[in-house]
Parts: sequence; C-alpha cells; structure tokens
Amino acid sequence: MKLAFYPGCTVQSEQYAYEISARRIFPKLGIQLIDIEGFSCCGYPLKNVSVPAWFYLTARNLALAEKFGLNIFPLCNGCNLSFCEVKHYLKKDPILKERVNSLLSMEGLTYTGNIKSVHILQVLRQIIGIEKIRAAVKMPLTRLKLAAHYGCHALRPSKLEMPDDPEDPKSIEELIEALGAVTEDYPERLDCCGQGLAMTTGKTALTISGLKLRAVQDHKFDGIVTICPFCTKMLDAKQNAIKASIAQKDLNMPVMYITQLLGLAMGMKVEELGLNLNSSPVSEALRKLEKL
Amino acid sequence: MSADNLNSSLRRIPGDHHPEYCHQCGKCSSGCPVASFFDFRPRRIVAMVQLGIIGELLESEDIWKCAQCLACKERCPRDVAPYDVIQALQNLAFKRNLVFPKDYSALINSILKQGVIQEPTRVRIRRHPPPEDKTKRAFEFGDRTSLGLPEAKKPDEIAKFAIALKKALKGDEK
Repeated sequence: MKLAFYPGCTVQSEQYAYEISARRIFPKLGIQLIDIEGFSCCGYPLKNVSVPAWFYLTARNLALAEKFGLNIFPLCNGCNLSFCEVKHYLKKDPILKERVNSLLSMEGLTYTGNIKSVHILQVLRQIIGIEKIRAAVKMPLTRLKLAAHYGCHALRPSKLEMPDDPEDPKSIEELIEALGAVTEDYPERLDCCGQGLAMTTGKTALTISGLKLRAVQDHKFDGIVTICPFCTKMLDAKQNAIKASIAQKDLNMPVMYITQLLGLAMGMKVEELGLNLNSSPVSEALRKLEKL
Repeated sequence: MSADNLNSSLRRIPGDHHPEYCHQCGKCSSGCPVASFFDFRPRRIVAMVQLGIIGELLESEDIWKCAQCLACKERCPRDVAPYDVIQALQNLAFKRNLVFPKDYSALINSILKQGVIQEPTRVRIRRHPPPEDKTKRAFEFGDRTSLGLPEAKKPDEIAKFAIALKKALKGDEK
C-alpha cells in the first residue's frame, strides 16, 4: 500500500531517528512511503493563537496529498490530530471550507476532504497487522521489559477516529509483545509528557516529564516505547535537563521509538535505525539485547 | 469591550465549545495534569465564561497554562469541551493583542519565512560501538545529508504561501 509520508516539522528538523527507522522498516512490511514535495507545517503549533491559520495550514497539506490520491501518514501524534480535527471542522461547516479553499487557490490547491490521515498505530495494527509483524521478527527482544507511552494526542478526542481506546489502549502493548519483549500496566501509563507547556512554562513541562520517567524507572522497566516526536523530545532529548531541573541525578531511562524496536526485532543494525541518535542511555537496553 | 461583545466573538471562533452546557461537575479539573502545579482549573474558566467574565480571562496568563492534553474534552459528560473553550479564549486574546506568550511571534515568523517551524538542525551522533580509546570523542556531528535522509519538505512557492498564511492570520473573511 502507498501512503503519503508526512514526517512533520519536529521529525524532519531534529528527531531524525524516527524518520530513519520509519523509512527502514515500513517498506519491508509492505508500506510504500511516498515523499511529497511542498509539505509545510501541519498548523498545530498555531491553533492556540489562530484557528484560521491552523485550518489553512492543515488543509494545505491534506490538499497536497489529495492531489496524489493518497491517504496521509504523519509520524507525529500532533500532526495526526490536526489532520483529523480540521477534517472534522471543515466537514461540519461548508463556509469555513470555502474560506480555506479561497486561500489555497493562491497555490492552485483544492481541499475536498476525500483522503484520511492514518496514525502509526493504525498503520501497524490495521493496515499491516500484528500477524505480519510477528512473522517479520527474526531476533525477538526477549530480555526487555518495556513501558508503553502513547501520548495524549494519539487517543483523544475519541470522537474523531483515534487509533485506540482513550482510557484503556492496548496497541503498543500488543506490539511490544509481538516483538518478543514483555510489558505491563503501570499507573502513570497515560500521563501527559508535559510538552504542551514548553512554551509557557518550561520548568513545569520538565517536571511533568520527569515524574513520568521517575515512575517508569521505579517500576523497573528497561525502556519506554514512544510513537510521538514531541513526547520523545521531552522524555529522551531533554532527559538530562530534567535530571538537573528536578534534581533526580539517577534518572537513567532508555527511550526508543516503536519503529526502532521493530527494526531491531527484524534484525536491523543499530545505525540503520538511528539508535545512535537517541540522547537517553539506550546502550543499557542494547547491551541486554547483546547489540553492544 | 462589553461582555456581550466578547461572548459573541468567542462563539464565532470555530471549535466544539459549548460552555453553556456545563453543570460544574468538576470532572475536567480533577483530571487536569496542570491543576496540581498551578491554580489552573478548567471548571472555573468555563464558569467564568458562562457568567460573562471573559475580559478578565483574556488579560490573565492563566488561560495559557493549559497542557493541551485534551483529557477535559474527552471526559466531559456534557460535551462542553473545556479545552476548546480555552483555545477560543487564547485565540481571542491573541487577536486583540492582549496577554499571550511572546514566543508565538517568532514561531509565526519562522513559518511565514520557511513554511515549517524550524530548519533542519545539526545533531550529535554517538559512535557505535563507543571508542575504546577514552581520549577519542564519543560523538560526531551530523545532519540530514550525512544521515542519508532526503531534503526536508517545505512549500515550493514560499511567497504565495506566506501571503495566504498572512491572510488567514488576519482572519480575513472573504
């Protein structure tokens, strides 16, 4: 199946590990990632200050994917939420849709709303399917106990076709088990990463992330599995800042994208999956897998 | 700014917000991840909007303390969508140039200039396996090209894109 591949600003400008590992694994699982030139910001970062600008930016990317007749596959919970929400609002209100289209006409684009956004969990579980993933596993991750971190925007609002149950999701756990690792429920599983506060109150954002990392470490997991670049930026890239900010010097938690773990289980090498880019101590987890 | 005026401006901002449905059950505030750090209560914000005390909200930093987790919107038994109420308030505060985080100006400029929030950055790449000789650096620097990634996406015709986005930001209605 072909999908319009939408890495999103954060992935394409700094979270390279996600893009590298996604580009590696999806073609091997029967998903052809089609690069579309001209994609811009999804608009999510502006929704709080200008709903019209948000609508314009989101619809613009959907319109570009429409030109190719492909469903769009964003690598970010926030981008996916943007696509789903704006589609919902423009369907509800034809006048808004008309306004957006008048702006899009400057670049010769039209938004009709005839394609969907597919979240990575939908791609993995519904399009590819757990059976196919299980069959692709060559080196099961048997020694690892992994914690699932969904991120708020993967699950809410459930009224818009979100990929899993908003209060009791299971997909990441299913995937972890399919890869041969173990997982378990933990009370902080659905807690927010705090990233949404980064612009207004950075210190609180770090504290919220720190509480999540602390909990995962106290529950003796070997690593956290993420699917969103914003959550990963907080939990992985800012882990050192969090240590200092909340005075928790012993925080030492590997954070890895689901695509990186899939690749490892499929027998790919550390560098092929961008595992040399994570800032958190992934080497601890790799050592357990005898990859180091 | 009369309260009636603000109320109708607020309603005109697209979203699923229905503050009038709220019966103050408090489920939103009890599930809010920010409420344990600040005196930030979605329930109170919705109550203030119901009572028409909107001007005060627009001039306070409180409405910007939302983590955007959407738990309140998900769990509200009355479809109030407190998050959407907060987002509409934030939009109004920005539109009227009242209180909003100053970083938004830089963010908007960046999107206008290049179509994305930031240009690709240089990152640290850990040597794998780590060098045995401890005097050698354990990191090197890399970018999209050295990592074998294709060029980052951006609008082809940035000038046209920027004109359309500026119009959208002004909220030009035809």
